Amino acid sequence: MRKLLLVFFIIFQSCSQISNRFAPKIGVIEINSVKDNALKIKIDVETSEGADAYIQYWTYTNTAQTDSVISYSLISREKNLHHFMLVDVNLNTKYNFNVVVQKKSLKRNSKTYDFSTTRKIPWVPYYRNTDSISNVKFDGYLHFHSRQIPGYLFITNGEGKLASYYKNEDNFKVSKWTNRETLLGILSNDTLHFTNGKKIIEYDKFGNTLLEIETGKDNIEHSFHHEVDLDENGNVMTLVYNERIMDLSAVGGTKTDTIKGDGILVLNHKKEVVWEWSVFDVMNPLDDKTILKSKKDWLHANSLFKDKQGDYYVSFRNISQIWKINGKTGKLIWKLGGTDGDFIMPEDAVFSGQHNIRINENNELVLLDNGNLRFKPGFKQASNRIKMLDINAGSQSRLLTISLDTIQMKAKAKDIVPFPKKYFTHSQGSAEYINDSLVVFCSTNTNRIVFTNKNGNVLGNMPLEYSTYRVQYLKALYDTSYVK
Amino acid sequence: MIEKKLIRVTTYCMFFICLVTLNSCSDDLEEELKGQLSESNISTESDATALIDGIYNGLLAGGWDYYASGVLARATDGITDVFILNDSKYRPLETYDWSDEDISADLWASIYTVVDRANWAILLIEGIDETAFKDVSREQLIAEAKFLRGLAYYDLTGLFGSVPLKLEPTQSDEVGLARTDLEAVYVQIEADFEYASTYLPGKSYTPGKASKGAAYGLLAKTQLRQLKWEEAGANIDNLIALGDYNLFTESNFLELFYESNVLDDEFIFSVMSLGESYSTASNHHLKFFTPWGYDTGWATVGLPVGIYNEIESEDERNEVYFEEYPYLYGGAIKNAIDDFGFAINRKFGSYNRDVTAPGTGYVAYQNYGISKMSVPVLRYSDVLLLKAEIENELNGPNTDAYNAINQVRNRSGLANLTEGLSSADFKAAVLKERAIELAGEGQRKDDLIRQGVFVSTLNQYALDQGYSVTITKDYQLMPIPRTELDLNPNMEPNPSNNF
Repeated sequence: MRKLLLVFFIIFQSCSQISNRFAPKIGVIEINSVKDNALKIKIDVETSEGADAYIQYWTYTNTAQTDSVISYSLISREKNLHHFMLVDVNLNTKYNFNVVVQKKSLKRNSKTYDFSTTRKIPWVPYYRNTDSISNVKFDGYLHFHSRQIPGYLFITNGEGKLASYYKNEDNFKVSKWTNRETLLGILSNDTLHFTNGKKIIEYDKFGNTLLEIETGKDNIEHSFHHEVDLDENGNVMTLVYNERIMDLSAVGGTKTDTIKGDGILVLNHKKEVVWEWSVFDVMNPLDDKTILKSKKDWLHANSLFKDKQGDYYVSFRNISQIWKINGKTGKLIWKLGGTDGDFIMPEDAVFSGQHNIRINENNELVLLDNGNLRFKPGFKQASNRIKMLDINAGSQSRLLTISLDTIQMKAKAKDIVPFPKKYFTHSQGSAEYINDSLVVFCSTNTNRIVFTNKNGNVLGNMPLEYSTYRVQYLKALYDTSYVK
Repeated sequence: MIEKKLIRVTTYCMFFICLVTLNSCSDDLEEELKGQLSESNISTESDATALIDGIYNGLLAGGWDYYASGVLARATDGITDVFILNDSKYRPLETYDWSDEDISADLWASIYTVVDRANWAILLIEGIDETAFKDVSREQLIAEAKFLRGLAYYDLTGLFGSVPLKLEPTQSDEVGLARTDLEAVYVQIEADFEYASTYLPGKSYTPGKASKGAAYGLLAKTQLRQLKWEEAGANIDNLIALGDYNLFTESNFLELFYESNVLDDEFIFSVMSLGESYSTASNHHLKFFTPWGYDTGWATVGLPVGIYNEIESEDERNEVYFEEYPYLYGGAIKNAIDDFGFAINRKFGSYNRDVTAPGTGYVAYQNYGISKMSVPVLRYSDVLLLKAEIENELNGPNTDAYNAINQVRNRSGLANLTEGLSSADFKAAVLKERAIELAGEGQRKDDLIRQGVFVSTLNQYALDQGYSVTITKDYQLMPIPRTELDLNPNMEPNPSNNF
């Protein structure tokens, strides 16, 4: 009987160790810097065969080290060699971390280690390190870029701290965080033009290049401008320039005049054209009385959006108009704004020189109304005397939400956030809601990212060293709901 | 019995299984941490040039400070008799009412920003592998950084005297440094310019980039501050001997300041502006030297009547400095001295934009934001006049001295300077020539101090202008900003902090 007890004791002992013994094991954990990027931390982990693994890392928010903010890497599943890249770390910060491995319900944490990030990266042209947004904390991130050579894409967190950056030897004109958690940019090797370039690049969030499309290669002749994004199928959609040679002698031009107009180009990741559209398909330049003046940049498309039904929306600055275009046939569905729009517009909904258009979840149109009087429908400067003064001296940019009644063909301004006049941006820029009480406004002309409440009162701002075409709010960089 | 045996067999089986489990299921993994994070990720030539560009960028401080927008010129020429400031914002500077200790605070901050960027650049570029450099050598890039750091300290010492000499980048919020002996700061400035003169190319394709000539010139100026005439003379001679520079004679003196001539080889070093847009890489300089009613300038400033009256009638520079001007609204001829109490100085103004906005009136006002105008830091006429002054100081008014000043006079249509002047008269003539030639370019204060006439000249000027103030040597240095004194317990005030 004593023997039996001993055996049971041993069985019990071994059972209690079984979960520990059976839990997947952790071998070498290797942590390394990434060349040319101070905010990417590479961690490779060796585990037992077929295990899931992730990194949890945290900073203490008080000196007693009782409160912490924990972040998680992506999860790596069913492997024995796991490669992680931490893409959400701040400069000059000490992080504690451990590796968590799991297989079925058996889980193991490694010992706790730590690493510290680089103190400063002064060659990154960033915003000035001020306390200017200490009153503006929010969940999520902002994405913007820096228009200089070398170019940078940035992601900052809700405290205004730099969380990630991506560098390119060329200059980012426009960039976008996509629905597939990748970053798209239009690149150019000059710093003269604001928003067009001859190359599109796509990075994954770890900084690896996924796709490069170049004008003049792969049978693509167009150059790209103002917008690049992925559609719901993961195809790249962008605005392009289309040149047409036309006889403009009837309006005082030459018989072979060149008109530079806009188009939409949709490409898959094999760089094959999936869909194409040109402004010349739906509008005749000869119908535009000012064509001789505007032929070098005819309507100036500056924003593109595709809705859930698959139709496109294009914003044209020069005519202060937004067009809805059938995503299959390319036919013009309606025109909003400008002098010949299809909707009845109350005065407070009239926009001019607008940017950054999209349809929100309530099926309303949201946009930055730059308020540039130069493009205001029907606006005429009064006299020579007034002409001496800046036409936009009293102008104001607004975040505008418009509800559209497409039966009665009536537009209505649903929400208006007027921004302070001193941050007026006559060109470029963006504005969107971060949450119900916080709005982010990119005032490109004043090199500022401005935060306001719903009434447009300033809560904080981030001064930028170099301008960005727009600023985009991101709820999260990736899904971490696997953590239970 | 059978039952008991069965239990025994079962238990032994389980025992065996447990043993097997305990030993065999454990693979050989031992937890271990490897690897480390490196401190710097800067590794390419473009990283290095971006660092250098960042320093240059600091000279314009976003377009509104340091060399931009006439800010430095106001704190140098603006306190002398060649630049009158009637704007409400700068009126206290003009009238020597410096009771606001932060009167030059923005300059202090923006110049130290340049110092810090240069320190970072030097540290980081030194850490880049030599093989990364192909188009330009590592030494040349470091030389550019050192030139710009030298220039920043040259400007800081001119404004504030002995200042904290900071040669390491700021990496934490450590308490600020105490003042360094002025002599030691000058040793460092000279060392930076000497390094620059060794490693920079003879002439850059643009005066916007530091060059050997610019380094010789600024080195000479640093030595002149210390009255080291002989050493300064040698460096001025080095600069002239490069043969890269000459006076602008292709057209009138006025056109030297046109946008189309920013690359002229009279300019040895300029702060250049890309003029990309109103807010990007534009320096707004053109808005801060002329009144609105003339060319839509934003500044009621100009050339004081005293110095204006000394300009000879046949002097071509009368195209730049003048009293009769066409009124913006309608073009009727008006008189600036009647309207503003000074003559207009149009070295920097909207109508010089022959590239970005050629024309006059409203035509010249449009494209406001786009100006590619430079801010000259060192011109060849400045160098020639220093040559004349140094020669006279060392050897009296000899042929070389006359030759140097006459080149500048002849260029503006003036006859040679009267021959046979005494050394003292020649000195006065050079001083006057420099005042007229360089008004608005920030040289006058150093000239007056160097020649020991700062106090006498400015008391006369204050009297002429009706400012009830007695100028002393204490006015040679601006107040240390109150912000700096509050934040930095190691910093001592200047006498002007007590005005």
